[in-house]
Amino acid sequence: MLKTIEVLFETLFSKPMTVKFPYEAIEIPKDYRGEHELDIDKCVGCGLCAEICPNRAVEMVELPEEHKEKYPKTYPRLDLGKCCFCGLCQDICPRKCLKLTKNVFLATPDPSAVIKNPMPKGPQ
Amino acid sequence: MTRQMNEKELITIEHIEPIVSEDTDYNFYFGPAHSGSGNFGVKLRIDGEKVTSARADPGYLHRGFEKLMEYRVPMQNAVLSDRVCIFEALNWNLVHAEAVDELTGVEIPQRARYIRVLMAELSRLQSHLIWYGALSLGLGFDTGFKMAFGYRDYILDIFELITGGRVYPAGYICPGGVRRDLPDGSENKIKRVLDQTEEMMQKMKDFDNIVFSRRTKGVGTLRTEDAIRLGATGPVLRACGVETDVRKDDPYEIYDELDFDIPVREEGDAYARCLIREREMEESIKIIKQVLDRIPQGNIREPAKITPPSRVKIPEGEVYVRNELARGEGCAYMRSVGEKEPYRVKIRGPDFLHMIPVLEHLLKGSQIADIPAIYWSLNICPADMDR
Repeated sequence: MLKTIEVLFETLFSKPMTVKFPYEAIEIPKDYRGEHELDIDKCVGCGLCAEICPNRAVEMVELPEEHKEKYPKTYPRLDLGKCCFCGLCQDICPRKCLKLTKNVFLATPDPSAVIKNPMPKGPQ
Repeated sequence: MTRQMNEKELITIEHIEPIVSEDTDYNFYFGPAHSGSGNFGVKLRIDGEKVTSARADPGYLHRGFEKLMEYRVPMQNAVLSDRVCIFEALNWNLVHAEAVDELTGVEIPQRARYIRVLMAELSRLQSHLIWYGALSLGLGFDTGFKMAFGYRDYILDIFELITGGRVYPAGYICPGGVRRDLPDGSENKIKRVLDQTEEMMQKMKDFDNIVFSRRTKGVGTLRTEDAIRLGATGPVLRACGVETDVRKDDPYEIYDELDFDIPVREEGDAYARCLIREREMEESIKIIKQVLDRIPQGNIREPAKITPPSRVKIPEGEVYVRNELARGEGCAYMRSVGEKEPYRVKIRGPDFLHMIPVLEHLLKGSQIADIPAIYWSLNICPADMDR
């Protein structure tokens, strides 16, 4: 009984185990498997990411006509709805151009937003 | 604040039929849409308060892993093996990886072996914490549930740091070793979390909750011969007085180099199963500390790079591996005919036998109020049973 009272007082004056999200957040480690990021300038279009993907969430596609001259190969298009965020595409990429970032806020009301088309960097 | 009921509401109440009929013999469904059962149901025949017969109703979580694995290369299957049982994903990773390694005959780097055991034991620890939380909830001891799930999160923080995901490690323990090396500072973080877990276990012991012990002592007693006949393994069998543990009987990875004990109790009731798991958590902490002290430097995977699926080839043969999981014995049978995918994979989880024959046997003759105590003392996972 004494022990219980001791624990009760200890708990009353200690910090809570949770944090006040979204004002505070627990830091996400740098190797987290979140949203994908493609560096299209480094990509060689080998298609290994599409080959290893267990859920077939990666598809190699061509870019729109206006970018075809600069980017003539096929590049990975990601369907985040099918993706299981295993990170095999990141591990197998020979040029390390496809990476999984720390971004975990992927909920969206727009179904088409889950498909990430390969696009050149900078203003379109 | 009270309000007067209007006429319409009063009429509705008068017309409600009594829930319990005068007949004392009736059917009772525990699950599958029940907060305390998971995706699993038990059809019970009740006489008054007593269960006269019980019939397990599985199949609500079948995902067909065995067939899916026949269409994927081992590296993709490693990702799939997480989901056999979400509570101990890393342990199932290890079962799958060992089966493939035995077929391919790859020599696993020593550092990878240590990391595998480290992660498997951490996974066991957090699985036991889930069990403690779920059992507490089933018994109406809400503090235990919140405490266990709160401290489990510290272990999930380690998983997040090392594997990149909190619950699903995505095949962290893969064929040939592990997918990533331990990041800087992870050893210290693990030690800190072990201290926190020890602190929580001390609190668990100090509470000595009377509700907990009275609702589990002498409840769901399983005799040794019944346990063996019905195919119980792991903590359930050890609580019946059988000293058995795959980590000692048939050591895999580096378990033969480590010093740990196997807790055994004679009673065979729900309380004995609880005490066994509490002692197992202490042993897991002991193992993790030894691994952290001895972990060598070196490679983490052989071969270092992932082989593209088109160039994978599993040598012909068949293997059967067994591992000690948190819930019992987890086994995998794999057969290859020399193609890139396995020809047949069979997963044998510990919960298939715990949830069907053992549970049916224990529930027969028990009281309705004891069902959660019996159910959760077996530490069962519908995901692993249905696969």
